[in-house]
Amino acid sequence: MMSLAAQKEKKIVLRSSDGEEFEVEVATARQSKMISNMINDGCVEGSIPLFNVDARTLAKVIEYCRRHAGATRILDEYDNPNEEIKSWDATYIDVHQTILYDILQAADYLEIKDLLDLACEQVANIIRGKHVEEIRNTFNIKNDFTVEEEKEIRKQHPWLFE
Amino acid sequence: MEHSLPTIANPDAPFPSPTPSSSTSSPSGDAAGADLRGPHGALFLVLGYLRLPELLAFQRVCRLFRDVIAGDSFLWQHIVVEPPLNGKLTDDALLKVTAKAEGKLKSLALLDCWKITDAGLLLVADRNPGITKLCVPGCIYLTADGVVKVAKRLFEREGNLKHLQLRGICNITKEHLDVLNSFMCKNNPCQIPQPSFYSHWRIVSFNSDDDRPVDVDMCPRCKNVNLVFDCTRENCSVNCRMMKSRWSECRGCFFCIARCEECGGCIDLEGSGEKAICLHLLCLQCWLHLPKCNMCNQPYCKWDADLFGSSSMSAGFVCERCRESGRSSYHSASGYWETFA
Repeated sequence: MMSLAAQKEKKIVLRSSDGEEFEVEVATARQSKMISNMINDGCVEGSIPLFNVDARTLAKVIEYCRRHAGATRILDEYDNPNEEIKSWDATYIDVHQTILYDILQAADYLEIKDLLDLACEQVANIIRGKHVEEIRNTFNIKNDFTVEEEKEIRKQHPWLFE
Repeated sequence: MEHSLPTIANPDAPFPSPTPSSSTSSPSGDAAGADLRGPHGALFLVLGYLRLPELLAFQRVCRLFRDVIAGDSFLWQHIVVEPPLNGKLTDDALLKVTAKAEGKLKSLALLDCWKITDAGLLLVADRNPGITKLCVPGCIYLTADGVVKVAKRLFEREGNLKHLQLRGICNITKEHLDVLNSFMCKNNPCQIPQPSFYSHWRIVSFNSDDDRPVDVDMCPRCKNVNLVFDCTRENCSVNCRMMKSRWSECRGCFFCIARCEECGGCIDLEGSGEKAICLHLLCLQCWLHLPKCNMCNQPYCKWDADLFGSSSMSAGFVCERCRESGRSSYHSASGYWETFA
């Protein structure tokens, strides 16, 4: 069964920063523009080392690419975004903030635009409607403004504080 | 928001530690919470996806964000002002916000910003001649003449204006419309206008890709300039044959031709119009297909079905109204609402 599938389609090996290897189909790997360019340039002999992506994140990213590689054909045929894919995406990206950040940065590094959009939108949704102090709390950011600086910023957009 | 991504991650931006490489390879748990001082590197990628209120809030979160956001004109090229900021936005504030784009503003959407005047908008156009999309629906202080002047100025400078949304602005005439249309798409001639569907209009918001250059048109029936809808039925045989005998075509504004809330097709009110629980109009075909309330035998239209939960789209539900009245008093399914209608 494995060999049949392998004959049908060539596989590519991705190696995570912590040394774990993942075998993926070419169509799946091509979801990443970076890897797709490498395939086009013919530099995919052996395994592709991904220094910025750890095994846990890579597994998650491959899950996304595999789903979308299979769905591309359907999306092309119908032109409008497939509801099923959308709900799959929503479940997929509903993860803890730490993992979300990792996926986001991996998508940026691997140039998977749709995944980057999805992850960024998810973070943007978390931020939506939050006030300054809530944002600081949510993302563990320390307020390093002096009182004068705070006043200065308020002066820039007085209409916001009316 | 339609940003091209590489520019968001401005390589010159002072990225804090942890750097992307160290954080992604670190074991779980420490990436989000360990460094209480600097924001996580991933957040900088998200800035391009934030709406105006959140972008303004982020500027006040810490120094690093203040500097990155203020220094990146790219983040300010697409500005959308919608509730709750709409009522606060004055001409001065608009100028300040748009100034951050450093003259490279691409799209500006002001939804119900009733404090914005012709003079304010003209100044923005003067300073940002490359605007391609201008949406000012419900900006009631603007005049048709004022908008024409803005479009003319943009046309004379760079001529990139491709989309204009004006619904809700008063006293637009056919002459205004003709002049506006002549100012659109200087560089690439406009395509054949796409039909505009009522049901489509309910789904799309201002930032969707509507192909038509100007959202309003002259209604062929009442000759007023308004949102004008085409019939969704490609071959409108059922209703339109009846309508066509009276009218030349089933294209018209909201006030002239009643439209089915489900399919956007025209409804002949004397013949086949039906009401939903939510009092929206439905054509007979859509009415027949929709699941009905067990008590009053009326369906929800799809918009209100979303509001009341998915259960109302499956057969055998009891609508909110019948449940309410059933709780408070004896309710007979037939005739109860008619007495109040």
